Amino acid sequence: MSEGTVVEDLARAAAGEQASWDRLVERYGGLVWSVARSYRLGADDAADVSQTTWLRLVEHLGRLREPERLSAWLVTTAKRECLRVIRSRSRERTLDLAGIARTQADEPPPDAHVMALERSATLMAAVGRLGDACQRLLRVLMASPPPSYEMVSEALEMPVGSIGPTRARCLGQLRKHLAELGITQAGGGSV
Amino acid sequence: MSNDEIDLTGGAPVDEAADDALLDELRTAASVHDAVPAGVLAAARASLTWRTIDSELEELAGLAFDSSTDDARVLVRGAAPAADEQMLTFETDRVSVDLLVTVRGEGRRLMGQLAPAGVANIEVRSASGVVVTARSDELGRVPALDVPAGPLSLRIQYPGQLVAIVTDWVTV
Repeated sequence: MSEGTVVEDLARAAAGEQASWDRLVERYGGLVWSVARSYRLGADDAADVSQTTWLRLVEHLGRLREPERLSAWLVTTAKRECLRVIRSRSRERTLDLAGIARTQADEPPPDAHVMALERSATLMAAVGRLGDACQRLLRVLMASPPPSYEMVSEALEMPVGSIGPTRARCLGQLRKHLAELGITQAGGGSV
Repeated sequence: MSNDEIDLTGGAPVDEAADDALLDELRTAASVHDAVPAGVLAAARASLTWRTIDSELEELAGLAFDSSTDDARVLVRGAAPAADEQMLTFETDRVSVDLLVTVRGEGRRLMGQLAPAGVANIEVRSASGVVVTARSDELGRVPALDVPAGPLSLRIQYPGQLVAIVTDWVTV
C-alpha cells in the first residue's frame, strides 16, 4: 500500500467512509498496539491507549498537518498516551512477556503446531529476560508490519542512528538467553 | 535508552542477515503470543462513529497541560507518590477547560472549571457513548461527575453559541 493510498484513505475516512477507516486500522493497529506493549502496559491499559489514540485521530481527521506522516502521528500520540497512563496510574500493571507466553502456551494446540508454539513461547520468554530498554526496543521492532527506524525513533525517543547498534546488542543478549533455554538455532543460523 | 545491561562479551561481528531472520521469528512469535486483541481492533474501527459530521460546528480543544507528564515533580521516574489525581487543561483560542480527575476505585471522578465562566451544557463521552451530561454553573464550575476509567472526551456547548467545544481524547 503506497503512502498515497494512506492519504486517500484518511481523506475518505474524514468524509465518513468506514471501509477506508478500516484499512487504516488494519494497517496501523498492530503498530499502535506494539507501542503500548513496548511501554510494558498491561492488556487493559494497552487497550485504552490504543482506543484513545484512534479516537484522537478521529477528532483530528481533516486537521492533520502532514497526513502523509500518519504513522508517525499515531506512534507519537500512542507514546504520549502511554506516558500519561504510566505516570497517572497508582498501580502499574506491567507487561510480562514471559507470562504472556506461559499462559497462552497452556492452551492445548493442534499437534502439528506444538513444536513451533513451544519455540515461539520460548522466544517470548527469552525476550522477557532482557533489560527494560532491550525489551522495549525489540517489542516495537516486532510490530507487524515492521516499523521503519524513523517510527521506532519516534516511539522510543531514540536517535535513529543508535537503533541499529542497540538492536544488534539486544539480539546478541537474546541469543545467550535462548541458548540457556535450549534454543541454539535462531534466526536461521547458529548462535 | 539507558540503564541496560552492557554486553561485555561483545566484539563478535554483527551478522545483520541473521539478526533480521531472528527478528522475523520474533515478529511471528509476537503475532501468536501477543497479537492485537480482536476487541481492540473492533473498538478502533468503531471509533469512526465519533467523527464530527460538520467541523464548522465543533472546535477542538487540545490538551495544553497535563500534570501527569508536564509537572517536573513527577518527571523523575519512581520519585512520584502514588498519585491518584491528575490535572488536565484543554484549550482553544477562546475557551479553556480545567479538569481534575481523581481515581475512585475502578472509576474516575471529574471536577472542572470552564473559562470564560458561565453556564454550559456538558457531555462526557467514553468510547461507547455519552456516559453523563451536566451543566456548569454561572461561575463555570463543572459539578463532580463519576465516569468510567478509559478514553474520555468532553463536548461543551454554551447556550446561544453555534460552535461547540470538543476536547481531545485522553485516557483517564
